[in-house]
Amino acid sequence: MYAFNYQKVKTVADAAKVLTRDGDAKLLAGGQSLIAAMKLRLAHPSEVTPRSPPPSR
Amino acid sequence: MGATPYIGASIKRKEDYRFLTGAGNYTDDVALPRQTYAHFVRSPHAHAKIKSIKKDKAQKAPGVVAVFTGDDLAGAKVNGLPCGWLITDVNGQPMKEPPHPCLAQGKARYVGDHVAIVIAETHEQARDAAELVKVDYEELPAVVRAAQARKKGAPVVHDIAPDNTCYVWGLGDKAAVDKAFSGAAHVTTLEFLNNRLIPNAIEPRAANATYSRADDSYTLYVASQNPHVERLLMTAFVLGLPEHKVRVVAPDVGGGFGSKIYLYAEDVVCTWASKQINRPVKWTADRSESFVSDAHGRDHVTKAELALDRDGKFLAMRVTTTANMGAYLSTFASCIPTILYATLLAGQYTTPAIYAEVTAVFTNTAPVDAYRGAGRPEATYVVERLVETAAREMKMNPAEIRRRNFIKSFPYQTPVALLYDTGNYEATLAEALKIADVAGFGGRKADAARRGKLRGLGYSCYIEACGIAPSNVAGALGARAGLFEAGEVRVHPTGKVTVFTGSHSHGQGHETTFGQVVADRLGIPMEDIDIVHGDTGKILFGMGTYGSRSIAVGGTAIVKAVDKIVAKGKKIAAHLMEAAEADIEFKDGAFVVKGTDKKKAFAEVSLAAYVPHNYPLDKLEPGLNENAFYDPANFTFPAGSHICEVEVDPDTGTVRVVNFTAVDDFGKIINPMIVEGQVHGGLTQGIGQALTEGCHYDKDSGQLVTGSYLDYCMPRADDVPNFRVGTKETPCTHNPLGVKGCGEAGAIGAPAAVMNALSDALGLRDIEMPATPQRIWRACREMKKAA
Repeated sequence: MYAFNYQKVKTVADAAKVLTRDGDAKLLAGGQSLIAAMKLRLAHPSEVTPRSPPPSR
Repeated sequence: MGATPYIGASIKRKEDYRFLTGAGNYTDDVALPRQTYAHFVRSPHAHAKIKSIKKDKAQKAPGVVAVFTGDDLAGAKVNGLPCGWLITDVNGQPMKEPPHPCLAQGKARYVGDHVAIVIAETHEQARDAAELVKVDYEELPAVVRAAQARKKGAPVVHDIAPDNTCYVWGLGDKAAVDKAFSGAAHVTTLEFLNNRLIPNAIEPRAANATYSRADDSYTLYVASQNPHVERLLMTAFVLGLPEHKVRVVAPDVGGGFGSKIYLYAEDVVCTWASKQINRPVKWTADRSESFVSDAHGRDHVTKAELALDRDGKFLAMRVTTTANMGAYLSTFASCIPTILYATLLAGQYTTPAIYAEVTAVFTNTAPVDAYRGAGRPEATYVVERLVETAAREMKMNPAEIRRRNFIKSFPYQTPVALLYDTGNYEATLAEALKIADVAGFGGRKADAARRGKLRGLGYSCYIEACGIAPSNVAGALGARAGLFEAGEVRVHPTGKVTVFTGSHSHGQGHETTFGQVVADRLGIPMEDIDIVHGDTGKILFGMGTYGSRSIAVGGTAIVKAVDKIVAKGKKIAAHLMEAAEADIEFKDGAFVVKGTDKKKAFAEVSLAAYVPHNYPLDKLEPGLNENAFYDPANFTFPAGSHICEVEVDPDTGTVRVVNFTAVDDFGKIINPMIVEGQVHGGLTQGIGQALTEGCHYDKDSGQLVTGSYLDYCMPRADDVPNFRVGTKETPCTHNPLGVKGCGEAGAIGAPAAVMNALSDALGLRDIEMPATPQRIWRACREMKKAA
């Protein structure tokens, strides 16, 4: 696995901000594919953001 | 032996407390001060010239301590890895032994070949920097399959073997075999592949090496099955270091199955590098790395023929095999498809003439060496597929044809070198027929047919040779090592006992089984005994664990040392009780004056040995510590009968192993629970080979296509049934425990039983292993078309 930043966000807007700021950022949803690809060094995201439903505001 | 309840008792494994509570100590758990971490740069090509290696960028990367390549090792005069068995070919010439450099010199010869080592402050830094090592490869055409290796114009793996041939070796009386075939009433012929397997121990290989400037010594922690052999090979043949300056520790090891017997390049390079940088160097393989760089198993292409008379008596067998060695000779690679394969072709039968010819070839694939069974599963597959096919062709009952040919009197000299000391093949077969309810199979088959399913039944009556020995015979056959085992029994002043064994436990449960043997012999509680293994700094010597040898060879060495303890104890006891030594007997943990109630407990005699105030110092040394070496007179010959029942769904090609019966004769059994566990594991690996596991290299590029669990299908719990197991005890005649070994039996017998059952279900002569649903579905479709 390559080094990456794990970015926890509170709102959908924050998540969108991370994704637009950094083209190499990826959303993490369960991780069944992404984590395996990262472990094999096939994926190299710079930031990973969990896609769990953020608290509504 | 005493009246203790230890031998034959299913005592729970002593070691499991630490394993199940996370207190195990594996190589990767060993953390040393000023630790560094290594990553190996590996060839992405199956065959390539290395034109240059630029390491400057990697050297400047964050955290990098050092980068070494083949040039550095050559400059330091580090030799290549040796092969431990010299095979002499049919013309009396030695096998071809190409150099096996620890880091590639000029060429890379398989995907995963070790090219450079990058050492950094963290593993991630080493891994990142490894991507900056610029290797300029010139790709060369690769040869991948054994069957292609000797074809004209095939790419050449090593210049010293222009026809890619390591050796052509033969065993048996060819003329007698040819003669028997010419007069045979029936000949059965089969051609098949024995699929290449990738071992998958739960703990990947690992090494952590450290150097001490204080006394110019090294310590290597390594996931190994035989630390003394590793040290001997590494010091004497590769690094040229004094043997006493290197300590090799194989702490808890999470499975080996053969793949951790060998001296690997990574172990050597980490050890050498630890002195260069004067810091400890740790390397732990990740799973992807294990797939490409562990020694693989099997990979034979075979044509096998059996000649029979009108009554189904075997007259002769002829076997021609090409064995894939991979790109280099791994430590014991050369003896697996020869000494441990062709010698087993008599199986359980009186076949009077056998000839086997084995051609070992180099290809651009990972080295192949011993894997659970090592040669014997391949031999059993040949014999038992032939026998079952012959029975069907001659319309004979497969059990009956076997019975007609069983060896019934012992000792029995086979035509392929081995001398079986004892066995009772009819007994295991009869028991297996009963347990498997073969009588009721017809009903089950009819019931399956009503449901649109195909049921089949298959047998496999295997034999194996364990505890390879004696050393002088093995030496005459080319072994470059001894095959004895060493043991030491240290009795402490309080009567507690530490036992040191040269065998190595990496899942087998030796701490329990060996403890039972010593407790039984000394008549003391098992809690008073510890078994120590896996450390050249503690154990006098050892050959390690492979070939199901530990109890038969290692256990016997311990028994011999225990007997010396008892003999010395008798002398001490005689003095203490003022009796003649001849009048002392050792019984139930006490030294007794025969015919009296005078006795001294084991602990009292131990104390007298270490506090020798009342002691025959003029005649006897104080202390109670003995060691012994044991070199067996012969192999042991475990044997058994496996019966497999499968059900195939012809619409989907899926196959279910519905019943599997194994009745084994392991001689005397020390711990039935541990033995049954060994059988379950072996059977599962055997079923894996038959149905799910197949190592696949692309035939042109030599890329490993099955390089992860996504592509390489290990058997899971739901791929196997609840095994029905039984045992028969015919004690081995030439070791004091009467034991034979049980570690590999399941993997040896199972593949033939499964494939015999499957071919019975499908009504096909043969189907290739692994018989995946895709292959079975295709076969079913072909048969439908033909019908």
